[in-house]
Amino acid sequence: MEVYYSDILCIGSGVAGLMSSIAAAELNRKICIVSKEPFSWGNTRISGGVIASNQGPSFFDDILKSGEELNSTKLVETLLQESDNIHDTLEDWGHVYQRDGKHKNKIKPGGHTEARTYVSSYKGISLGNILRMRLLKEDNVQVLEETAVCQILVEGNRAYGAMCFNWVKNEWSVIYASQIILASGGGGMLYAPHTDNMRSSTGDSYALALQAGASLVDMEQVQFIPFGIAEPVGMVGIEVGDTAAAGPYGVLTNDNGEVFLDDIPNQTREAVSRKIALQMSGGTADFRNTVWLDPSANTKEVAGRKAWENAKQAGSLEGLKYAYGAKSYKWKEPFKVVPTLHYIMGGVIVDHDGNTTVDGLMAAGEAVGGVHGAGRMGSMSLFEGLVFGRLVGHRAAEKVTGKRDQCVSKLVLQSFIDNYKKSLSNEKGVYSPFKLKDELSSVMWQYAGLIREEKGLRIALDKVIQIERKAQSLNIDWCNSAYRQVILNTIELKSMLVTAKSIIISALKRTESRGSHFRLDYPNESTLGLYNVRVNTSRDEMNAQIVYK
Amino acid sequence: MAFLTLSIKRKTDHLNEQVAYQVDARDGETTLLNALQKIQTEQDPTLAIRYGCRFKDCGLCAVKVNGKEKMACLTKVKNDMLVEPLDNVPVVQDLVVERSYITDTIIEKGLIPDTKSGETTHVSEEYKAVNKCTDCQVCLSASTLYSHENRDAIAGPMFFVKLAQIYYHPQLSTNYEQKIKDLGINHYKNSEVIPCPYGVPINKLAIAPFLTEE
Ligand SMILES: Cc1cc2nc3c(=O)[nH]c(=O)nc-3n(C[C@H](O)[C@H](O)[C@H](O)COP(=O)(O)OP(=O)(O)OC[C@H]3O[C@@H](n4cnc5c(N)ncnc54)[C@H](O)[C@@H]3O)c2cc1C
Ligand code: SF4
Ligand code: FES
Repeated sequence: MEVYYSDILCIGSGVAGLMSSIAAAELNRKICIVSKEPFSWGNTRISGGVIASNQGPSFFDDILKSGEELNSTKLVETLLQESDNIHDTLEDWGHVYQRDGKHKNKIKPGGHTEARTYVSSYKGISLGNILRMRLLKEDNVQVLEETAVCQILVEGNRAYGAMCFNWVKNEWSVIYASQIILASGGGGMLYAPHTDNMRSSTGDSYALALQAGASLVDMEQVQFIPFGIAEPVGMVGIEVGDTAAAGPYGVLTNDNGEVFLDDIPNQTREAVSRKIALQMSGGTADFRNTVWLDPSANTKEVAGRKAWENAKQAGSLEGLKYAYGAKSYKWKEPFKVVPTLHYIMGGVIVDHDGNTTVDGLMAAGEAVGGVHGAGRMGSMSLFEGLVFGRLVGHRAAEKVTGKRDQCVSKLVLQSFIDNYKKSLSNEKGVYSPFKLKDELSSVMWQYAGLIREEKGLRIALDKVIQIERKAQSLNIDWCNSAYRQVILNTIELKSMLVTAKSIIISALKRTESRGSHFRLDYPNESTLGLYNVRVNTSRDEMNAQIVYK
Repeated sequence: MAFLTLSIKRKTDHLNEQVAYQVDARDGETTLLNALQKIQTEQDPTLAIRYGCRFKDCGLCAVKVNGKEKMACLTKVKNDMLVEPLDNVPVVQDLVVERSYITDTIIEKGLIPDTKSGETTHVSEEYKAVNKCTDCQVCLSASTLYSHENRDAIAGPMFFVKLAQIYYHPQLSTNYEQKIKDLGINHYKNSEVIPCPYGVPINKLAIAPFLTEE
């Protein structure tokens, strides 16, 4: 077992983790950045790399409108206030945006009423690379990659370290730090294969936060982007695009070729995904029909052809070519689509400096809830990650105290690890975490996805508890290195189960339809006023409660 | 049910052999990555594979298929495929090869852009081309000149591409000449054409411009 010491521990190396680590390193703090993936891999790297900027008087209103006002206005205000020179800073570090001579190109993704979004030179890869290189320029940085944080160590509401498993080296470790920044991203895998997220997006942020004693907000708000690939099996869920990807003249049709939706780019992701889902289910809670996107009318109009060029530039047509062939790629024939889990709006509750309610535990990026309310506009997540990443990094650096609060003997640490292993699987059994993950994600897709109702959500809760039980007797050999990925997936399964539960109990609590959350049994917005759903854990019991705004 | 057979070169602390698996899929029906996932989920949880995005963007799923480097998610599965880990990079387990040395090499060789501040106005086609690199390690595996053991002296094509990302940067201000020497690029003077699944013209943009007379 290795033991590391640092001023700041940053969990995650996507945009939020990298930005906060850079910001803290610039203030001469010692940083330890841990990443379950290779260093600087995460959803940030596979993203489209389109990033909003704070321009135009309507920005604040656009964010609240998309979020159906569930947003924390305090966080949205902070986001706008703290965004000064964020793009200049990135450009100074070498990030390049697509441009037309002197001017950066600007686009208008779904939800924005103005073109205020810049386009990275080569998608998220270029952003990920620039941030990775910028952090590596700093001396006081320790990178622990391919290492999963399994547990935050807390003593009396003070977080002081983390327990980790390096799955490549097959090695357990403990990191002590004065401040911990949770930046471990979202949880698309909860709905696999109906997601465009990275394999590693298993909801670890939310599970770690709850385990440490922090609270979550509006976990029922999970965003399905309307257009994902529907077949072949291996490609289900890969992103085709958001509402803009239909082009101005694209229409959605049912199996009989009847049009049920047009003028798609002018609607939110939430609205279009919901309409597709209801078409797929014929107004029930079970999916039985196929939905087609027919973009062919675009090819006859100038604005339509321009939209195709934009989509091609963004690189989002290649999946179509590979799945459906050249005609779909050229928008000459309709293709099947299915909404796919893209982003979790809910997340860890933080104040405007990024503090959770646990002393020493902060959070940034997709891990955090409240910024986007019930619906997120395109290009807002990278923007949020950059701005809050920088802010939280600075605040964490300011809060570092010289003295080490807690140090536990190696023997005790080893017993923490042994207990943790037991909590993962306390007897040798037959179940595989890979299979249980699949079981869980199909339960979530079927009962806690696009269309929800009380009956289905209760079934989902029961099934999650059954899977939890099976997960207590896994086929796992802690001493055989061939099980390194089994162990990693067991750690992830555990996070997924906790996060799944938080989504289900929040969805049960919200007896209305709003934004991404649609209840067949409560199809309208509540007339009783706006509220958030808050989740916390006390004495191992997870609770959801309503907090009126 | 239709079955096809995949042979996988396995390596663990206890195993070092080719193992044949029957997969429930038809020729060309799904991706090779999906077939490997199925084996891991349904047959043998200890089969180690690496992937991230399932379609093209993360660069993590490179393997050798019938002797040639491929991205598993961009390859349709076929009967009788032989799947092996990449060459020239140490195997962690089965199809998973090491990666963390990449971070170390970036630091040691200083492959970090140091750019002039201010706005860019012109972005060259060359810059766009070298920017597509996903760090998939295919070029390292495919190059006959690369060896992991000797990487301190001669770093390998992927790292030359990182230098090219600095060299073609619209606001270049780094002194890259010393880095050319540190990377040992001259050793690749007569290199065969190095393949890249992402279309980076490695020889043309990441080797030729840096060759010096000795
Ligand atoms: C296909 C796709 C396209 C997108 N396009 C855009 C776009 O163009 N514009 C936009 O604004 N947004 C886009 N988004 C959303 C955006 O990319 C993400 O929301 C954002 O990148 C999240 O950043 P993050 O830093 O919070 O998390 P991530 O970038 O996902 O990083 C999470 C990090 O945490 C690590 N990690 C996870 N769990 C653990 C653990 N237990 N221990 C240690 N490390 C852990 C991971 O390895 C990773 O490094 C897109 C998303 C997807 C999936
Ligand atoms: S240059 Fe091409 S082959 Fe080499 S690592 Fe980059 S993407 Fe892969
Ligand atoms: S899984 Fe990401 S490139 Fe293949």
